[in-house]
Amino acid sequence: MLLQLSEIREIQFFLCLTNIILGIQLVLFFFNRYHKINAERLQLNKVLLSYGSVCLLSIIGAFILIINRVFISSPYLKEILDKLGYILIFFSIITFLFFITSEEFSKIIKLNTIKVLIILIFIPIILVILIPSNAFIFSFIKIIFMVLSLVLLCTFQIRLVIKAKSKIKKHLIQILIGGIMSFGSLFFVIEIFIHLLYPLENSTNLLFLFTLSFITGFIIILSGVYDFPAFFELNWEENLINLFIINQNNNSCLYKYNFSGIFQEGRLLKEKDEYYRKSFEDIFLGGITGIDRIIAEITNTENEKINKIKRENSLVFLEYGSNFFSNITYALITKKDLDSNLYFLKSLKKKFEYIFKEVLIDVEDFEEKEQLFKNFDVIIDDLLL
Amino acid sequence: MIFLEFPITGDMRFPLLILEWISMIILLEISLVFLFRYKKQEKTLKNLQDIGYFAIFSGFSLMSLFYILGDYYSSDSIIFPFLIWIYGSERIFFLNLGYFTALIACFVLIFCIEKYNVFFYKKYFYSSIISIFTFLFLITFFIDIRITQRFTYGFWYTFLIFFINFLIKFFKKLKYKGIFLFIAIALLASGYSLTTDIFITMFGLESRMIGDILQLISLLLLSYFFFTLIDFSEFDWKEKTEALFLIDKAGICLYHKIFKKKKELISENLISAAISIVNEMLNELIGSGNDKGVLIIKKPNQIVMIYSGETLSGVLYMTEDLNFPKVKLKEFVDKFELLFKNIIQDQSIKFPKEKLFNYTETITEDLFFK
Repeated sequence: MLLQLSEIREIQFFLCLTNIILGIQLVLFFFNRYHKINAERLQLNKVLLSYGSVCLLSIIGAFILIINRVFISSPYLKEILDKLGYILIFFSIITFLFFITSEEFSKIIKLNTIKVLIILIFIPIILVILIPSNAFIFSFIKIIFMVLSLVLLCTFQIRLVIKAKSKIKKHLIQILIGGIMSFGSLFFVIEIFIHLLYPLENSTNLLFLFTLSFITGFIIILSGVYDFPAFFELNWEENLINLFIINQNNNSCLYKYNFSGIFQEGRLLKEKDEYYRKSFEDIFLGGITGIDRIIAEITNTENEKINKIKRENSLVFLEYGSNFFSNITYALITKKDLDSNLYFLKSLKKKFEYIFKEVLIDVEDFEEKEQLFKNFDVIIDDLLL
Repeated sequence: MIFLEFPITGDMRFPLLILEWISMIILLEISLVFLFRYKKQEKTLKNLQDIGYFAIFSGFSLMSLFYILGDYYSSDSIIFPFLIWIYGSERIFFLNLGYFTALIACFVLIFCIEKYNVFFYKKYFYSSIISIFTFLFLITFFIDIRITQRFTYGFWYTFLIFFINFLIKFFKKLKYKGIFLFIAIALLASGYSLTTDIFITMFGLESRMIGDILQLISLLLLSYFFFTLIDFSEFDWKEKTEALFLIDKAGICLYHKIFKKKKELISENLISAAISIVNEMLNELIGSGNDKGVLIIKKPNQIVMIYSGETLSGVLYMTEDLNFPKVKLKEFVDKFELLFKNIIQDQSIKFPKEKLFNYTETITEDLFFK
């Protein structure tokens, strides 16, 4: 005969199961979103992997604990599964921290702190393995650890929200609010229901309340993850200097944009030192094409193009037009070597070719090119804000 | 013949419950995806069909919950009196709630789909029939809850015919994904049949178990299908687009394109001038303010959409009032202005004006044909 539970137990089990299934969907959403936006491997996108992994392991851990509580009667197996469930939950924090150990996250939390935390988390894991699950100290360790983990996750998320800007900030706030509701509820479901209130038949209402809170949190997180945008490096836009779109056939500038005018001097000062700027542009436009040809000649790589020119305090990212527009070069001058710059340049190229593709086919027929492409300012402003 | 007893008990109870509960949650999850898709759509692009799909999946999820309550937690024994009725049982009561939820959900779906599509000869044809069944169901529900099930047969047949009708239309656009959808729906239908009382009395609860597994597989396939499907707003609109005009503030036609060869129109210059006058008159009469939306003029079989940009206006002739073409029209005018505003406004710019037409043709191809 298969398992028979009382009706109350069944309902309690199904409420827990609801949390688990919704949690799994959340994990799929996090990983799927990461996969979609990570074409240029922006480091901060890994925050989605962090969230996904913490969800995945906590959900599996919680599932094991629930199954253990409801179905398993052998004390030996019960002990093993109890430990396994908590180890997975504790380990989820390690995976969370592991994904944010890249340099870019150091602006939010010090890398050394993360490394120390990862090592520290192994202590409760070892203790959980060594201490019997029915000992008081076992309950004490796990509750303290889970509360500290929630505090850690919240602190990290709040700092991330503070540092983030524009659209992404809204998404991160949604994930923060939803996360507090969902994980707070999951904590209560695991700790309060499974361990403290399970013997009480009338704890169903409380469990129902937590499940509702979990579902609400889940919906809020889902709203935040649904169209989560690519996460550029923090304050990356401040490292942008100039953008040039060059017609290589005659070294003429089709379009230029001065970012420093916006982020450092203010837009009104854009025209300052016009003479100096003009001569710099002329040298730059011809220079880029010349350098490309020289390097191709001396390295015998005529079919390959230069992607990046690096000096100590500045860089030039280069992209080339696709298909019919191979004579167009997109040059972005920046201060730092950030992945976001390349992602941004590629987005600009895509937009420019999409909007002006009809004109670009016979661009050399026009005399007033800068006038023609001037409206692209609007698109850049939109991408930046 | 196997005698069925409710609530379901025995060895099969718990595994069946788990399967049915998981199906219910997955239905809820799919419905949430549609809700998000609707919420995240651009305001002018919002398509009520997504709300319809949200309604059907969340409705079926709720219906499953009522069925679970009816089959696993309620007695089938007839009580008299039962609540407000002379006769009744807990199970019949919950099943009725399930039927009612399904009726409402199907009505919302059909209504939302029929808002954008005409099936048979009349708009809202199926919605009207379903609303009649809902009305009859409600009357019967308050008289005798034991006989309501008979009305649901008529409703299910109507829904099935509508669904086949819709799928035939829908399949053409889906190409190879249509086969995927067909398999999922076939599994769902056969799975559902195996869970009905007729099959269970013939083959026992094992039939219900197989039915539940088939439904679960089908739901997983459907989840994948719907998560990877493009917006419904992108279907069908091209067939309903008849003509496009681009006119300047003076009412001169800069460009026009007739999409339907059968469409016979007077001179494009006359149309442009007339549209321009109408647009101006409407601005005077009802005001445009800062509203950059699309103006819609409706006739029984003709819709005229006008979008006014800073210097130019775009006009689209449609056979139906759809959302997606509005976005395309807006995109068309905005793109044209972004490209050529300087040239049109500043006469000193030397630009080969004859090329304007070629470029506009390419933009049209790109936005309205690809």
